[in-house]
Amino acid sequence: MAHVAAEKRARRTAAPGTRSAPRLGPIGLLGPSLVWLLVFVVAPISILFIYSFWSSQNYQLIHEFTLKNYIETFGDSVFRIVMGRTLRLAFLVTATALVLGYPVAYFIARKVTRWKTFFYLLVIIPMWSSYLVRVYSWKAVLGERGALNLLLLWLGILQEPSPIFLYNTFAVYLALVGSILPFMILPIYTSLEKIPQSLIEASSDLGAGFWRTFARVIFPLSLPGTLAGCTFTFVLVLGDFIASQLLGGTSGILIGKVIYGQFGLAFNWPLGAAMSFVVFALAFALIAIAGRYGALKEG
Amino acid sequence: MRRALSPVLPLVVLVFLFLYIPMILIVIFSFNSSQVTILPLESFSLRWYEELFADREIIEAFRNTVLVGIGTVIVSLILGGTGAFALHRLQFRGKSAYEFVVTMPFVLPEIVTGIALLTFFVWMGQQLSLVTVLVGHVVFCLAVAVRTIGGRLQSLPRSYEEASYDLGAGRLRTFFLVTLPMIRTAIFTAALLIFTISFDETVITIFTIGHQNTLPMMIWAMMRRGFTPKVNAIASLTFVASLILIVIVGTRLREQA
Amino acid sequence: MEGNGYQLVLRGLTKVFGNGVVAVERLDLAVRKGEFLTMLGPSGCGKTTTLRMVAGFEMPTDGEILCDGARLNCVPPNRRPINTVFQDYALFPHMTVFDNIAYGLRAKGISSQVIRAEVPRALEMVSLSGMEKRLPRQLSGGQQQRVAVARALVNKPSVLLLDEPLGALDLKLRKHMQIVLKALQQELGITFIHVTHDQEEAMTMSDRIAVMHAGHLEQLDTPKVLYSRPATAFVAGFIGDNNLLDCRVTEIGPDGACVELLGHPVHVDTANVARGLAPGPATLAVRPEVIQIGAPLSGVDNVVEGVVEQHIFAGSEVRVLVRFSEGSAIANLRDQGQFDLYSRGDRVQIGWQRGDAMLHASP
Repeated sequence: MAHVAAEKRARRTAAPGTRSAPRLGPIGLLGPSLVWLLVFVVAPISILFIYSFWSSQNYQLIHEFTLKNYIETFGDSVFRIVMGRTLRLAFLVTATALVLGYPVAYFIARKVTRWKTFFYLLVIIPMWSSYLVRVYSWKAVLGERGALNLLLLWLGILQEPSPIFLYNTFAVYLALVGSILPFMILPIYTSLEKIPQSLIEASSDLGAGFWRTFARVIFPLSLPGTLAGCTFTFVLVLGDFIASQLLGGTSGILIGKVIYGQFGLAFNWPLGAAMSFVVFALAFALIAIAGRYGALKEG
Repeated sequence: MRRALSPVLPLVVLVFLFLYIPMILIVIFSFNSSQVTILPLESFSLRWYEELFADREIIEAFRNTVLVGIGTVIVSLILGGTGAFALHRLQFRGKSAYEFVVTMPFVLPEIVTGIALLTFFVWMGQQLSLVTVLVGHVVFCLAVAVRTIGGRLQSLPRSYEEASYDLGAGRLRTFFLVTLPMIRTAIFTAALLIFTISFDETVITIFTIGHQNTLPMMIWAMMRRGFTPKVNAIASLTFVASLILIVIVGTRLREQA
Repeated sequence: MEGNGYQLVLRGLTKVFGNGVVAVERLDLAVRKGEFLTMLGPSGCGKTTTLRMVAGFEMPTDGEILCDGARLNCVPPNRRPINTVFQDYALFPHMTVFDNIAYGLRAKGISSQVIRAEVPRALEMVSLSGMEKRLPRQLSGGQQQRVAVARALVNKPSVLLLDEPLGALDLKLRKHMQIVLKALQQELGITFIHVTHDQEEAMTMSDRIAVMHAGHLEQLDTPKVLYSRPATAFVAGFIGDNNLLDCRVTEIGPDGACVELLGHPVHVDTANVARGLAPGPATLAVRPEVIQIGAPLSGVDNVVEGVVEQHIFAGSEVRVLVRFSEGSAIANLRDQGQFDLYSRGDRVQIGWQRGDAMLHASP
């Protein structure tokens, strides 16, 4: 009799530890974060999308469906110019960061043993500290009273401090490279570190020199991380407005700053929403594509 | 392929200099007694730091930042922890979709997340405040919680939990006596990381904050006004604080890897 | 099948995984009370899946698990009178040896007074007295393994499951632990169900062995019977060393079978012919130790010709590998003097008596 009762009791509760029993569990554990994501991620993006089809007049929001924001966005020459500049800069920054960052990642991953933690920390400290502060710190280098000017004065190359280093696209470019570089280095490093030493030894054993081994074995295996680094870097430049605001002046305006402006004095939220959504769509597409190739695992 | 000195070393040194010199300069400048920042320093002075600590607005902003930070950590850990468990201990469809949606706010530009939340709150009629800021921070940091705790759960051999069941323990007992102790470091790491992120978070905060101030907001306002030693002081403080936290976390992360 | 001292009965047990893989198919197995039974087979044969179903970590797709007459199918693992020794031991690293062993007792709400007496007793049982305060990482592999056994046994289970418990140990320690576990089982009289892929280990420790292959039970018998009278070609090849030769059955008569092997006629006694075998392709199983070599060979029922490919001096015996026109066979010769008689390239005759080989259906 006892085992019948035990079985009845067992049927009511899903057996813990089993992997194939039907479960009540997921709703309980998954629920909180799922609800949160739906309410505070999916819904806001949807609202943003809806907003982009409204319009603003005299500081009032008009809830009428219109495509004029998108027409203005794509038709407006200012937006196109700025968008073009932003995209070009994103490519440049990504390329520079890749060229500078890959060797560093390689160095830390495969060339140091005792100091590895030290170098690893050196890379991630900037990554997790304030982006704002790090971008701002380039003023100390590029400003009229900054280190670069002082150096050139001291070397005699300049007679008086020059303002040309700051408040333009070049300043934004430098600051972005300096600030985003860790985001490129880390995923590549993670990828490279996972490569078993035995693969490289096998390649060498089979007669391949360094460059062949690199091209045929190391680089292909580091692609997921490299792709992740490039994607994050690109998307970060795409959405940046802090560097543009602090260092761009009137010529180094990026799309982020234009969007930001719509929510300030211009008070054209629907237009800002439309532009945001375009940036969102572009970033989303890039991330989704990169994710397909396994890049998201490395982040 | 292990030579005495790698030919890449000079480049590596240059890159690290590139990464750190600007910040080092800021720290140096913050000790300059002169209002006008010129090298060499006029004289070494803690004047700007003193002004910071006396500034009531800044103290209050700091307090708000810490509050939001702690709140973000708690909410993120709860939501992220349960989500990580669901991902790595349960069977259900759409796991990769869930992971994708969780990770999205972290990899997308913050400006998009910030604006989306702003329009959402306005549309809901919700007044902006520190609470809305907290919501924004959690949305951003959730991925960190899920990834960190989830990563540990994934690498934890199932046999520990199975052994616990085998010996007669139920689900709750197993969770508290076996699972939780073994993911403790991951939870701690996630907490530190999330606090650091929230502490420095600027862009999303700009769009979701109401009348109160957080430290990044004050710094942002100060920076837009100009390049002053006082800004340098607070920038240096923030940076050093992050540095300490990250060193603690980083050494732990390396141990786990 | 029930009653009669059978403690664990598996009836028609089937497990199909979500991806369509059939791990176990209609397994019928009855384990006697107090016996040491081993499930033996290559990886993927279903032995571990079966063990996990008995422990409660996998739900059977079909079939029944009965323990002392009670149906266990839906009972969660923490409520079964069964304990497991895991392959990686799964000792809780953050608990001392004492807390590890006490874990199951505490889960049942047993008083700490009793626990304080039981744990040292369990440690003594596995010769680890005094180790209560150690942490698992301070113990050697062999010691960890014994703590895992103690942790399971202290709960006085009806059945103890062991999932390849000796796999991580080096050879010498393994052999030692085989003896220890066997002695422990005999002393306690608890039913042990053991899973391994190492047939020598199974033969050493078990009262009976269930040989499994591709989700099915091939044969359940004592080690002696499995060795001398394998029921199928698979068992013949898996247990001990054996030569499996492809042949054609030409005739099956009252006094035996007539088989064509490499162009030679070979006779097999009736008792050694698989039941229901019909003329056609079949497998002849000849153990290396029954083979004789000669150039020429006389006084033997069956003779085939071949060329010596290798001869190995293996200490207690001489092994000669003879290659035929198709296939090869290894002969284990007791006489060490024979090593020098044959060298590579020699044409020889090898043979065996009609009662020494077995005829199976082709797998």
